[in-house]
Amino acid sequence: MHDIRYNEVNDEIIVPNPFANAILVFRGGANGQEGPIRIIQGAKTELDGPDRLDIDTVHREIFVPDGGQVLVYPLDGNGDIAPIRIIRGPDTQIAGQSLAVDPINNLLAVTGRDRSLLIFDRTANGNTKPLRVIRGENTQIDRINQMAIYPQGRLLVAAMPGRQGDVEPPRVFLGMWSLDDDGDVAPKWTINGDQTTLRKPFAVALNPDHKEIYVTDMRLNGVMTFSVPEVFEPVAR
Amino acid sequence: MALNPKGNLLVISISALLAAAMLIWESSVISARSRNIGPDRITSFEALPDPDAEFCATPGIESESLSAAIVAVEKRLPTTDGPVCAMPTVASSAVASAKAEAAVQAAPPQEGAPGAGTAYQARTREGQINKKPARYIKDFAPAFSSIAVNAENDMVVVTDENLFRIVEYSRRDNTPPNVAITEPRRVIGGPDTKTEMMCGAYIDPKTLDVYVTNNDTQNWMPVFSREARGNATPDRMLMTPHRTWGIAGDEQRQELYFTVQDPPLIIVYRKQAANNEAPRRFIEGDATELADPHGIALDLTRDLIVVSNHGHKRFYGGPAVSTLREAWETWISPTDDLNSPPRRRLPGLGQFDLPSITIYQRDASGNARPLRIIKGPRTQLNWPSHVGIHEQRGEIFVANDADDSVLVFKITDNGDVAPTRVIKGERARIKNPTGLTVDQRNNEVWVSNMGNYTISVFPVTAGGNVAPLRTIRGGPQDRVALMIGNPGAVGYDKKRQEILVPN
Repeated sequence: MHDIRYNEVNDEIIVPNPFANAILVFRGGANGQEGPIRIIQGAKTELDGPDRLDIDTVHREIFVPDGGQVLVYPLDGNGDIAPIRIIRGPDTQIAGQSLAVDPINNLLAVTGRDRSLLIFDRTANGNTKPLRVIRGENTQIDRINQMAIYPQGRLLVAAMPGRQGDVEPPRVFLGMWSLDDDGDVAPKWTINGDQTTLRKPFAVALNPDHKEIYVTDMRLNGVMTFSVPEVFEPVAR
Repeated sequence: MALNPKGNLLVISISALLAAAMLIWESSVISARSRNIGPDRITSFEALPDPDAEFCATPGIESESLSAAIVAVEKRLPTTDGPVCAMPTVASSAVASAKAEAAVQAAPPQEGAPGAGTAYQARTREGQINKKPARYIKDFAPAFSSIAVNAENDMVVVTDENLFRIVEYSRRDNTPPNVAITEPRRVIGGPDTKTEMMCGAYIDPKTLDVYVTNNDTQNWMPVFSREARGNATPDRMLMTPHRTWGIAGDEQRQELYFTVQDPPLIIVYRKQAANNEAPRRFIEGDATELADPHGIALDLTRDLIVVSNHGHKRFYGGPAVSTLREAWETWISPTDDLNSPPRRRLPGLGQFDLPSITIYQRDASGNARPLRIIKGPRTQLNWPSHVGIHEQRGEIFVANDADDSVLVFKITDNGDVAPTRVIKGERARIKNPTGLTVDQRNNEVWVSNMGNYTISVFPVTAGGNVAPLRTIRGGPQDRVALMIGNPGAVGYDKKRQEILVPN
């Protein structure tokens, strides 16, 4: 399982299950071998091995990157339901391994072809061009796993574990870009280096209240907490 | 791995958690609390420190059931000037007890040492933040996953999914209660070994070479000679599909059998296959009823293949149809691809089926129906992992991960049948068993317990709440393992101030 999101409005946990082609929703306090309270699964869903997702608790939607497309479902969806929107087509440039949604600034960040980050309008639908594309040598992107957004800072945070297949990848970091970035731009900040001991950062979650970033590292099989108040600075727009 | 929400038994899993957070601040020794949701290793850690606290939080010891989990906590970072708390290194760890200390010492030398990526100097616009983490959750003891035994040569080989090691013990080893751990007599581990999430092991009975499968982070099956130690380069490697899990060897026909979780299939190679060599045949398709297959064993007396299935299912609409447009050797060669065999499947469809044991003719191929299926609520199957066969007794042994048990079925069983015997209970001390093998020479069942750092040995006739004949312990006694493995995601539960970690 390669994603997990907490819905603080409804106190629920949402995860994808690629092997059974499903999105599962559990009680926030679920414990032990407890069943999901909702399952999105079935022919109408168009799911094709969902591996990651994000949720928008403001507009109550679930976003699922799925190959070369993004499927959007209602947050309360259950059973064999069709997506309410699908972003797909050659103009989108979506590669679709990972995404993060910003319900405040109405933006959606999706991984794109040629090691890129694509910024869409949150309500994008169909064969839509991204608003902005972050791509190029300066980005230093090799591979992106889980992503998260700090809306107040218009900041996108991406876990970059290096190239697939490398046991100890030479280029790993947590990369942060402004959601207003465009083109071949270096990250605003990175978290990496010998002090961090990060070897293969696989995932990231944000806690703006405590000004902390949580990172899981696959090579260490550990969970790290970085205290980074400098990152959690709101920006005016 | 994934969740299984169906049936009486499994349903979600946020598993185990708890943890052993090794957070250290000076000599403070503190425990934290966590919960597990189901067997799929979603873990939730609590509680986060008060951000206004002067020091690293000290949640206190909250639960005796998590007694060993966490060992210490660092001081929190009050400023941005850098961490006040030290990272828990092998050298600096202050541990709560001699047992925990043993676990830390059991960490391989490379643990805590910088990896290749730590030297990278990132180009940034506002800065590379290179600071120690304020807190670090990690179990420094092994997570024993798969096991293979060669009794004739006194070899017990176990894979460790936490510290990425292959360790070898004597089959006569037995860790006394007052001893911290049993040191393995051989350790293979390090970046040159091409090993990570090792979930299957096989010992060549003639050469004593060790074969291991990597699951979903490395698409290799490395082979190590009897002499290999430390950070050894594999003597041979076979490129295997993404999500390869179980392995079984047929010495009569010189073949290797693997399970692949998704797309669900059994894949058969020439035993000496290497590099990008193509398999000899596949078993896959709707008729096979393969559903997230894991363990695999061969009954060479009866010419059977026995496979355990977790129950996650997708559909082809009949036989599996490959959409591969190039030769296997060309397709699988790039090492930076996922290498998941492309198949045309019915869009959208999926199912949470009950876990099962499927049994096939050994020479089955393609969309072959199983001869028999053991499935249903009476079976007690709950995340069946590795399986073993005692051919003379005609019995199948199943490591029943999410039920903390070992199930025994007759090789002739079919349908919704109760197991002949169940090994389970406090005396058995089976905890999240993923590895299992049968020593037919000595009539012993070997179980590797991911949940408590142990390897348990039972007589093949064992049933009920019985103590093992012997136990090899690689970590602290009576401690629940953290079981973080391949943590591909993380979430934050704001209400409970918990970190959620699926594995």
